Amino acid sequence: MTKEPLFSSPLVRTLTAVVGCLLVSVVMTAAMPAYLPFNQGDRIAGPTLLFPFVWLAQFFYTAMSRSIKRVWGVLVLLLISHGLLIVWALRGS
Amino acid sequence: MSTNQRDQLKKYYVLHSWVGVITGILLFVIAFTGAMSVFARPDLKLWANESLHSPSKITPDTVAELMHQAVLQSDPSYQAEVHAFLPGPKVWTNLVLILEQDHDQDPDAQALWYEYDPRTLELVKQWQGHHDDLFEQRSQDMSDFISGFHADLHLGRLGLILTGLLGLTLMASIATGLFIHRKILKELFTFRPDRSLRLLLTDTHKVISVWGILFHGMIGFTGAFLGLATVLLVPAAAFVSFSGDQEKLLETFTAEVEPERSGIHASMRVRAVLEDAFNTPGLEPLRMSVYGWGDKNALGYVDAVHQSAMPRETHAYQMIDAAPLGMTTSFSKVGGISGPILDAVFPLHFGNFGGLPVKILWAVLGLSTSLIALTGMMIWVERRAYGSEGQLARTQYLRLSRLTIGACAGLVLACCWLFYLQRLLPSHIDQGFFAIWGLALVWALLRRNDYQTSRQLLGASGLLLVFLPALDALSLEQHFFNNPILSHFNTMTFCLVFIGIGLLALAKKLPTQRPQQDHKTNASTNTIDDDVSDMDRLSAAGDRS
Repeated sequence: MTKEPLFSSPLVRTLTAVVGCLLVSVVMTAAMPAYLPFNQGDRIAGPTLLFPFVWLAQFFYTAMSRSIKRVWGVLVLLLISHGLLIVWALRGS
Repeated sequence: MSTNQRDQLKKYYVLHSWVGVITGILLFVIAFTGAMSVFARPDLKLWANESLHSPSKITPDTVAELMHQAVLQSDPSYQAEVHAFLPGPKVWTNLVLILEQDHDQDPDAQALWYEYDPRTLELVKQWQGHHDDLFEQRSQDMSDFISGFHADLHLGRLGLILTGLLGLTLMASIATGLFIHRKILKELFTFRPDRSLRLLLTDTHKVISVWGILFHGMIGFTGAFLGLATVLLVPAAAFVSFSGDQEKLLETFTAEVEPERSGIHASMRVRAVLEDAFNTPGLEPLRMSVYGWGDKNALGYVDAVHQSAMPRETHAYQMIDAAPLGMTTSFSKVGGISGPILDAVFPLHFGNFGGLPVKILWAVLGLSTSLIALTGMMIWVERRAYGSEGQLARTQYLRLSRLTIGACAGLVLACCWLFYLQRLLPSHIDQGFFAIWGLALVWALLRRNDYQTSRQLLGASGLLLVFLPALDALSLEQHFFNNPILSHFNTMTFCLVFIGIGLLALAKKLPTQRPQQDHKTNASTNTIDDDVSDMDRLSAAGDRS
């Protein structure tokens, strides 16, 4: 019986953890001011301060999740939803 | 422990070791130069610049007079912004006056630069050119070199991204380390230096990591933020809220606001403003800026550090009558919870609060971060070259070991050499630094015995430090040997510290080869359950399954 590898798709996973998580975290930092319920200063500065933790959560999820497809699903969902929020906010302004 | 839990733990272990080995050398470089950067300003700047050892002629009177003179002899279009950077060990060694055209309206705006020796008030440099080239005119010394190298590796935006990412991976390493080392309290007091090399390395790695965990976490977070702020985070933050206009974002939240010009002429009370700032107890003014020079509504700002405050302060004045308009910190306009946190990020990262005791503590903890990176790399190599985890030939792992020793011990040597470059070749600091570092790296890669190499490189660093006071004696007018009391206190302290650290490096007898007790077979190292840590046991279990 062949033992299941510890990490499935290691190359794709590594690329996702390095490039994908960074991209999604930056897009989230840009979009968060559109929906955070704080004053103007906190709404803009808060996401920049939260950025390292947002990246860290995504990095761990990418590394630890069994299915890389699920990781891709979550990251793409975050990317699209926050991308749409950016478009909505820019149109509104 | 269930198989699932063990698999999760193994994943964290693999993640911890691979993130560590990929970023280890860079983390050592950034952490070691960071520990030095803690003393960059004022201490290293004071040591590096003899002009700061003599009495200065800088007073509110002299600065005001030179500012008025510079404005009078220049075209009125250069009065949109007038800045005076005051000399001192915090930032600038000479008095620098900068007069700028309105660069908000005109992208081709020009600037004028006048630089004066603070001892004689003699004009030593004059420059006129494009506004964007302004800060390239600033002369650099070793303190600027080392703090710049720590911030961006002298690679500009790419370097900032690299150091920012390194902060993120440090946070990831700390988190994975916490997951795999669950017996934290026990590990706080577990240090067995005499059992075996591998235990010495793992115990050192764990003890330093656990004792300094708050510091390492703070450095990871603030380092990630400072590295990525200007290149990624501010542009991202400005994208939605200010339609991508970063200038507008900064204007909204920074302390200095440009006035509405009235068109009515008025004289500028520069001296009175400076006197007020200079006479405020505990306040050390670093810069004065006047916006709208000669206008009734002109505003003046004095950027300063206060002995008892953490963030920098900006004191605002009405220039027509020198009336104070209040004080703000760098990010007090952000307000809420974020403002005070942003204000604390920079001082926390560099230990710029609480005086010398905090600086010493920060430097020691910074060195411990670099030791964590180094011991982590050595553990990784040991486990693969002499343990059961290696899948490549031993020579491949030993090559990585040589690279690590060359890069890390070579950096220590290059940093000690930096002091000599400052005294002997101040205009070739960067070339000299990288040449020595490169030579040390090549030397380490060519040598077969990296224990001997590290001993030689650290010995050479120790020798350089021990002889540094002698170099001071040859190059300075007043120094430790001819006038220990009157020579600048900072220089004297440095001499004693150099000699102390140098002697310590020379006295420490590092082994010349890998200790014999570790030359065991893979099987025997994996069965001493009493000796191996959780991580060892986990990896051994993984290998057996």
